[in-house]
Amino acid sequence: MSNFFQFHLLTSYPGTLLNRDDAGFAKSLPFGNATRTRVSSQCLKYHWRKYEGKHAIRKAGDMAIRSRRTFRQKIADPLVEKGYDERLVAATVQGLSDILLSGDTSKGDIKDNVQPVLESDDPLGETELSQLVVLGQPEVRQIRKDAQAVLDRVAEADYNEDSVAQTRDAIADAIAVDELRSNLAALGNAMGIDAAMHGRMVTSDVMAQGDAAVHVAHAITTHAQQREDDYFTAVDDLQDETTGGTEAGSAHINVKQLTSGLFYSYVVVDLPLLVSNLEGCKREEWKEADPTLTKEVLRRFLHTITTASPGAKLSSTAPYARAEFVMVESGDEQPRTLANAFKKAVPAEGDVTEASIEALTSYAARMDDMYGAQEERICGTTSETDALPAERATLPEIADWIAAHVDRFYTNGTSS
Amino acid sequence: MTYSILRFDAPMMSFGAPIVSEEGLIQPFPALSMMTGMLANALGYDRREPEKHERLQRGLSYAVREDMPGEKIVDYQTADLGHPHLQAKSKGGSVAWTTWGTLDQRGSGNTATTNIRNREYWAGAVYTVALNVQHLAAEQIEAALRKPERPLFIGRQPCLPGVRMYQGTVEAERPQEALADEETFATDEEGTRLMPKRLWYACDADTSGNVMPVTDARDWTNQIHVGERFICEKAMPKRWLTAIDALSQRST
Repeated sequence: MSNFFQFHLLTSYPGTLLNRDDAGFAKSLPFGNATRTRVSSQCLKYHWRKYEGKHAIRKAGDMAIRSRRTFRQKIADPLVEKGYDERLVAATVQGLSDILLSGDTSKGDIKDNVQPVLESDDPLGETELSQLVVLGQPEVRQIRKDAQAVLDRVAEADYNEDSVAQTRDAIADAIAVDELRSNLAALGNAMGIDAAMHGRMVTSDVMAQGDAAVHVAHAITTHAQQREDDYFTAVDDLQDETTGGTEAGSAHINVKQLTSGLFYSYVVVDLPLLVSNLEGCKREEWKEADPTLTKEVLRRFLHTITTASPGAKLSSTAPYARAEFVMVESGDEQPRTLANAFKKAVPAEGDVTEASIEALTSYAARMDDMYGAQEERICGTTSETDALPAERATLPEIADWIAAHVDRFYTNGTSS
Repeated sequence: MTYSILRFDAPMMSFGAPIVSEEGLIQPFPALSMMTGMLANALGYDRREPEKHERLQRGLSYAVREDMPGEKIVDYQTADLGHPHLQAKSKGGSVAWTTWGTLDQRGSGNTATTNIRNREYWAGAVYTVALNVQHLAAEQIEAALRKPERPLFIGRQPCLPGVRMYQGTVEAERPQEALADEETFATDEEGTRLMPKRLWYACDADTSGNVMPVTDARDWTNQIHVGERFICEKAMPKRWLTAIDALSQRST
């Protein structure tokens, strides 16, 4: 069973240069009857990642509860069930998780980390971390495989099982393999909420790749591209006769393109995959995982995409704007962008924002007439219009609506 | 034979051709591997299940009609490879972890720098595809496309469809003939019928006309493209255009 959230946004950025091509011009797209200004998905995602505001997505980590137990539940417990000794499993997992979290550790460090687990009354309890770890399914599988290999090496080692010091040394010997350590350190760098949302495609190993749970379309203007070449000069304040300067004009002359645009942005979130990536569970078992972190990530994602600017030239154009319209849809039908609402470009006259909302609303209504209303919707806008494609709500209410829908997927198995 | 009709209509689409270093080139019609990957995505196959992909690919036959030609654009991208998550701390020149336990090494001289990538897309194109999968009933294809396991995209992840892809089924001998059926003709937002331009379908090497060899099957286990098949490219037959024109006359 699939479940998707679709986000549709309208955001206006006047007098900016949000995303440039190799020649320094604004990126564009021929679409329908006019060329549009464009902001690439790569650019949008980069700025959403970097966003440091109150609702920054990476800060969702502080909220996590269950994911601290990933090592315990997804790695240690299954190995104990396979018949490996509980104490050795706990110590091994502890040793591996320390390499993963700290980047790299010396053999001495491994010994120091492993010893308290071996001495603990509740060794498996020691594998629950004090910090959040976001591990995808490929990572979980790999760490479990590594842990099992370490345990097999320990089983073949010659040591006195009753001696904590000898057991500790045997485990440290089995872990301190250069290739294992550097691979684990690299794995540790590639994980996180970011990778859970946008995927991990940096490796040629298909087994190690992580699919993106968030699909982002390039944002395009609802109207024909509006651009202006901005001629500018830079004056050298220190240049006068006493400093040897003799030229009459400026020290630097250049031209930069500026654009004004009301952008339509579209994003799809694949809920089961997001839960799977965040919780390290199999996709088809997503409903058995705790949705707390997922709900928090989605709430922050809504705030980020409506607030964070994809802007360049920050000090000269102040490209800061918030979405003036956002509609979220929930359902299990094939997700589709509503960009075709703007295939006939909105005329650059009168109130472009109102006209764009009107175009989107009437297009959504025509789609509903043709296919039936297949998604549940909610929307927020600064517009005073009464004609909206969905119930009007504030941003926090929309965030609550999303969280409530996640809960409904869990209880009903469907959004409606 | 029953052919499922799919509409590809999106602001941006990518029909990938082999990537040559930083250049992401595209071809005019969707490759066999892309059609396989897209259906696999809809069916919820995992990328770590090569046998399922192989089977799907073997059973797949399709023809493609270009209803609205796209304009080729090049998206200029930069990637900062010096970013911490692209670097292993223990070895300067390394990139990523692997399931075989050793780091995926990037060649020297190409590390920790800004990488330039040019990716081509078709802007504003509309295509129609007729497809059949030997071991999948049309109803299974319909279910997978209507309620896909994962969001569908056309070639690359930012290429999100602007319409419902599934458009119904048509009975025909061969996929190219399914696309002659008036049920499959596309209209624009105003309801005006689009005049198709070109048609591609699989054929034998010696078929007369514009035949080209392609290597667009994927070896899903080894992640490379293999084999050779022949594709016929045809301008839209005149009788089709006349039929579409007559339809438009009738409806206005």
